[in-house]
Amino acid sequence: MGKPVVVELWYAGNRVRRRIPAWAEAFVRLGASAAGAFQDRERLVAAAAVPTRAYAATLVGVGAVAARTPAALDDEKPSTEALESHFRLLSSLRPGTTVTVRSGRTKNVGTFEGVESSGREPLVVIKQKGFRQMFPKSGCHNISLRGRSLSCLFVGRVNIFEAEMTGSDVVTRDSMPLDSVLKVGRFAARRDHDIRSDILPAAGDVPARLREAQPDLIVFDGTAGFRHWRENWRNAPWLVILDRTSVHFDEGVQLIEEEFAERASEQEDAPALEPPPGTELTAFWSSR
Amino acid sequence: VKFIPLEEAADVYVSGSACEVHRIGVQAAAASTLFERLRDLERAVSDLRADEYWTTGLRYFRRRRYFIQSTPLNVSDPALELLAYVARARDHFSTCGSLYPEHADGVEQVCDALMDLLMSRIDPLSDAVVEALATYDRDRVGVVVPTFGFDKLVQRHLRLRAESEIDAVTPRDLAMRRPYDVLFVIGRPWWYVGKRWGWVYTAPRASALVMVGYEGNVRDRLPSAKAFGESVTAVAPVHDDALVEAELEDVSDEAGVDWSFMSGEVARRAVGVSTADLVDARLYLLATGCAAFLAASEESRVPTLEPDASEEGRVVYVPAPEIGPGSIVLLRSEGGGDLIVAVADAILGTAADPLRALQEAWKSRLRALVDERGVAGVVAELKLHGSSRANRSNLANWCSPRSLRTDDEQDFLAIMRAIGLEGEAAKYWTAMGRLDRAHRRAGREIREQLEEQARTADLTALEEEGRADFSLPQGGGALTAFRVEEVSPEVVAVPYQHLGDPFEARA
Repeated sequence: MGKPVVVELWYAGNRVRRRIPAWAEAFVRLGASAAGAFQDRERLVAAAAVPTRAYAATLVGVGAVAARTPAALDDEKPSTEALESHFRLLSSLRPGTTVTVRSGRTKNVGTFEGVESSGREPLVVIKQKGFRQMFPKSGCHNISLRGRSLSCLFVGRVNIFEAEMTGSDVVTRDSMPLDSVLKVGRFAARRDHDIRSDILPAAGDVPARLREAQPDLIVFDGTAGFRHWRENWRNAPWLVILDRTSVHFDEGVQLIEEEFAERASEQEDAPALEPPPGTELTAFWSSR
Repeated sequence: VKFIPLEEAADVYVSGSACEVHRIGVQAAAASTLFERLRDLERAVSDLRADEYWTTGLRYFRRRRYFIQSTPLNVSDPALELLAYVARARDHFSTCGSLYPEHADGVEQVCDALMDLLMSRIDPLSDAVVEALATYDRDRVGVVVPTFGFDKLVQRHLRLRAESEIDAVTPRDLAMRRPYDVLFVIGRPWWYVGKRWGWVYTAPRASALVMVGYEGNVRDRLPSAKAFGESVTAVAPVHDDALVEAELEDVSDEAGVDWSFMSGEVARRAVGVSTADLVDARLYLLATGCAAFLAASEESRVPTLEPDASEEGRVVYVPAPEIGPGSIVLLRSEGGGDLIVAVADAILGTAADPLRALQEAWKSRLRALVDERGVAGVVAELKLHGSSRANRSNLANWCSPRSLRTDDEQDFLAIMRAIGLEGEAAKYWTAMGRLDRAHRRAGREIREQLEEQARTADLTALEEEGRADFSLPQGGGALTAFRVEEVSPEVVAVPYQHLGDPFEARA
């Protein structure tokens, strides 16, 4: 799993601006770890029992989007850390993901095929029109992910998400709302194409804009949405937030236990995720 | 679910990470005598527990024991209904001397103990809370009770006694509130766990939980915070001051919802009503101490509010059997009668009255026929006249004013033949078709108005109290959105006119 990326967030606590507390930062790290969490033909399924649903899903999404957003690479001389991070991101892409490959002054569209690990170092394999090209870590900055699929799809109450994501209660270091990181499709202007996440109501039909979505992580905020949508997107990693105070909490736990019973591998191989303080976390690999 | 600022959420995490549990057991001689005598009787008749005579009779006692043990009110408070239940128990057991002479004395002793307790006018749970308030001199103090509909009463009582702004809440309300400094939890953990409120202990809303209950009730083990079979947990265990495992009693039917008041509500509504007007229904307990009957039929549709849905689809008509705890139902709270009928009549204008007269004419004839020959007899007759869908359930539907005509014209013709209107069948079919179209249009208009209301209304009250009022423009009257708390397992027959009509209830 990718190295957690921490986004610096602040909130208006007791009339004084403060860094978000440790439990909240842990949700951001959890999202960063869970997004794009695949292992061979398996994907992560995780669920957190939380004392209140407040902000849990949103902060997980912030971590997911931050982790899956390409770091700004200096085209000529990217740093070793930036290359390392970018290579890790590319390696976790779903096969078939569309990428852009830069060659001199031209840019070509290709698709990510996988990672070739038989040689001295791992190579990212990109299929382009008529040929395949392999990139070592040192050359991966020539592969761009602009226009790729969603980093995070939230499932839950739109109005609650809207208050958390677009309000001024929790903001970035430069006082921007969380939507400045999340770039939620539902809240975006028509001409805004830089979309990194979106929201699906817990009930109803899939909006046209999300029918072909390939999210790196689906965050189910509560049992209702999980019950309604769990048969969709069985190829993507899931993180289910279950509020202990909800009347549907036991049902949500039961649904997770059913998924657990069908898990792809035994728990010795379980994904290592850090539970935020005050929460209980279960995680396992599931076939995709 | 409502928006909670991060600071409030942080308070929840802080409460959970440093929660201490203290236990205060109370004792009162009159109450102990009742509990002991009732336990003796339960043991004495344990071999008869499947006998309905004893399950019903013991239930009267057990329910009162539950209310005494779970509600910080004076035992003489009329809301606890001790006197009424003593009378009810004495009436029920009036034949005990002849049927079970060996247990008659035990029953009498319990009745006497209940009367003695009532006359003692003690208030030990409130005494314990008020006394402990001096120890826990904190700003925000709450009391959580496991009963339905008693919270406001308890709050008024405790505020008077303690001369402080103490809150009394149900667990549902507690979840929406900022954590308290101290929270008194009345009764045994089992009562909360059984109602899916075990989180009162596993996601505590105070840094100090004080369990207050009769000695023996407060010594139970707390529910485990572990939710999943395989997991890693960062949930801090609560610091429990005195964990002593209590001997488990038979608490079989103590802590559930007491549906016994339902029969009285049904009887009151059924006086002088034609059997043709009765429909199968379940009783739904609603937030803020209300209740309403809703049809039990799969075919009935009830408007519900789905706050989770997108703005365009928040009002959803669902079959009543799919509605459960947590659902939000929309019930007409002003204007009376059926909303669709009122709006349809407004659409029809002057044509409404003659059409309604025709509707009433064939419905009243059909209901009269049911009264005269019984449901089975009318079903048989309709089949003889060529109806392919005549059965008990469909006949009840056809008798109801909400069904304007049958889906199949052949069934309608069979009804017309049976009630002596065969010669005017075509006229009735056409007239009812017009009414049907008006009803459908009314349904669409109401839905649009409701959608608009649901889109723009402030749902804070709904989230905090489980209830919100809406008024519909264009003569639609007032609607109230209620959160459903519980649904009666038993189906009863109530007049259709009373479906969806909210009333006050305590259970």
